[in-house]
Amino acid sequence: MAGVSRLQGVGGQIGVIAGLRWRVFCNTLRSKGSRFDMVGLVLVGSIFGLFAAGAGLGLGILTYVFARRGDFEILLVPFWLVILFWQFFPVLLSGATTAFEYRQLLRFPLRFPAFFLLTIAYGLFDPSALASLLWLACVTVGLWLARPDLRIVALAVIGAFALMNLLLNRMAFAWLERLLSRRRAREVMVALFLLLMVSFQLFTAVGRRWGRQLMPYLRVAQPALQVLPPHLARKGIDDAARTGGRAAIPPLLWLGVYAVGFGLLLERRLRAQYHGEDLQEFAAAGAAVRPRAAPKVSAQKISAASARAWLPGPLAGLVEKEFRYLLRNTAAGLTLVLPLIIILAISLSWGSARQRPGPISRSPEMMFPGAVAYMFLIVAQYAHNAFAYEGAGIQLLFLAPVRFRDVLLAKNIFTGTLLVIETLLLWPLVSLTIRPPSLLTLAGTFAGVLFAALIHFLVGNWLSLKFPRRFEFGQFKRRASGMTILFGFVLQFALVGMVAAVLLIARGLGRMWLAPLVFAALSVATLQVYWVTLNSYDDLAVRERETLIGQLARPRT
Amino acid sequence: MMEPAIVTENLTRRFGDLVAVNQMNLAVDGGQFFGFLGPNGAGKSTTIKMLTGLLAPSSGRIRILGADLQQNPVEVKRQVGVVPEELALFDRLTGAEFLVFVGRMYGLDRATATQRTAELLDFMQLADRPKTLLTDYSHGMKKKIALAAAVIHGPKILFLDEPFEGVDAIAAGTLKAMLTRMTDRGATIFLTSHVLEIVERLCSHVAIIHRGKLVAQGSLEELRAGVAASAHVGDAAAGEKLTLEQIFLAIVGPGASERRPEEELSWLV
Repeated sequence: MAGVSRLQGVGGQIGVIAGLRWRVFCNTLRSKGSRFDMVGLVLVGSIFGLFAAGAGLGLGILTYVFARRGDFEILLVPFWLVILFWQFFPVLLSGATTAFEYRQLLRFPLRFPAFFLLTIAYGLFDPSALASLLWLACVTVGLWLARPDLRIVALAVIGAFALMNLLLNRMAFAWLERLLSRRRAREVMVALFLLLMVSFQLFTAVGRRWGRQLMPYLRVAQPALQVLPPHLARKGIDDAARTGGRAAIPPLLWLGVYAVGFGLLLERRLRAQYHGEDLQEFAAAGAAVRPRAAPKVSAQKISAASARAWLPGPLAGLVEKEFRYLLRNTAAGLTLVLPLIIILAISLSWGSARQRPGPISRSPEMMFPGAVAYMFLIVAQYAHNAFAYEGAGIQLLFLAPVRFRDVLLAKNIFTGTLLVIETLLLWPLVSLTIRPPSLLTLAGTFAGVLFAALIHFLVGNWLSLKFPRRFEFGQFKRRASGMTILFGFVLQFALVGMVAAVLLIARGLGRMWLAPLVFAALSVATLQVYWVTLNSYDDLAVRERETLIGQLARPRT
Repeated sequence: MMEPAIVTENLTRRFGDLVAVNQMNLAVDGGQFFGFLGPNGAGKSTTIKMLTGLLAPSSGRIRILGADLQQNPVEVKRQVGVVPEELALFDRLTGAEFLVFVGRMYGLDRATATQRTAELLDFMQLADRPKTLLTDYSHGMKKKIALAAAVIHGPKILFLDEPFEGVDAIAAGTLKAMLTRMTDRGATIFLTSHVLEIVERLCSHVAIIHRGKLVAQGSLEELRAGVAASAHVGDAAAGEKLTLEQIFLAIVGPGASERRPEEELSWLV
């Protein structure tokens, strides 16, 4: 075979793949939408970069100041920050993607070392890894400047700590990928991460109330922390500073043991993939229905399982479908629970006896509208990208003899119902943890929600048709189009500001009865505009159908 | 004289400089099992998308059962069933939930939609997985549920884009029998498939599209007669009854099988 006498070397193969990635990147910039996205990405990346650089500078200065005093305990702060950020942030962002695109390269005669190195290289280009490496570099520079005699030790220990983090991150992803190849496991994992996020708020509230009683138990656990990598890294530098460079060797070796252990676990997973493990098959096997004497679906059973018809015609079917989708979408469902938990935590914290009374903290007249506004900011976003979870089903909405006016109306009824339920749940929550708000505050808040919801539906319907973006189930990472984010941001803040201004003015004048009246009047006017606009969506949907189907029906690659 | 079930007049669709469908004039009579063929990229899916309202034509008209599709989309869609190329499924519903939903979207009352759902699931041999979400169905099962959804409202016209792809032989046999019975009762079926044997066995009439242009249209016998009279068929085939594959190759692929040995990829094993 001319020209195929031997396989390319590892470096050559990586070079070819790098070229491929560059080509793919250039090709994605051909469409206008992708270029807009890239602009958005550059803007977000710049903000993230500034944040990372600022944090790095702070950590470097902090390290320098404390190292000059001979206090190396402070190193626990950057080391814990790095390990938590590096390991948890990417998992939270990616949620539960099942496949990394570089795995498709395994169909080619790729050498295992090249595959191993590629896996690690992908980990290095992760934003959290880049930020973590920057922070560690800043800590190293801070140490160098404060204690030039610790240069080599600092470089070796922090280098080992970084390598250990990199291997841990890749190992965790490789094993998570296997675990998350089952749909149900993916959804459970997303639920756990979301709960983990809100648990910090709850811990704070619990700490404020019962902190003193819990302290002795926390002290008992302290020695066990000494064997963890951030403590080992701190100990290596601290010991070297006190008794000389050789004292850093044992902690350094332990960090090496961690790195080798994670590397071996990663190697084992990658070997399995390299030798042809197909996680799609694994997932399919998991999802396959075992042979069983299953009951057949009868008409009566289907009927009993369906909701009662409380709306006319297809509208009822559409609303019912939205609720079924919500119940099967763990990430979206938990987004609704999130504001309730956070507001409960805040109410518990602010409502505690030790908290000094403030303008908001002990006043349900401010707390209730504030809590509703916070919930509204989260839940109302559903209206901005209403077709996000339709997938290929969007075609059915165009094939069926249904007007898009009705489709959007059904989606608005669904989101409106969610807003009402959440508001009704917040009422007893604030009442029990602080005090019940007055009837005027209740009326004002409900009227404000109605007005804000109608405005959101008005704008959100247009955004949903003009700038649709597909979201995946069981994935926490959900980025709407740049235009939707921009419009949504401006709208949310304008509305919250307007509602807050009306409430504050009414309160300042001592005439709270003004607020519900103003909002009711605004709602009536908005409802008329909404109703007229709703009829124009049939034409807009027909004009935008190719964009909608193109964006939503095909999975993003 | 009754108007054909499907009529297109100068139907054209452009994507930038590319003319995917060019001035197509098509007529499909009611009750026909109609096969729509063409090589890859010829414009089959673009045509079917325009006929079902998923894609706007650049110019030209479409009349379905005597009504203009663009002017009366809701009325036309009520009488049409579609299995599109990318199956239009809501994959987080179970099969039963999806069929009831589709039935209601097409205006069936809940009781009728529920009854038909049970019958269709039983017919398609999908009734023993009541709690399985569509996302966990195999490709063949998804095809079957998509076909069930396309017929739940009893359409007068059925558009099928590669309906048997991925469906096992037993299920395909059942589905073909069902479709044939539908045409016997007066329904019109418009089918695209790359498997010419299926088209030959099922369809009474065929149209062939090539590079966006309609290059042949008529009954199988009419096409056979036309091709036999032309010079594209080899001597060996001239005396026999032509298969659809021979007709197809004669119309869209003259010269493709006449490559000289030195033109082939000599480095292949």
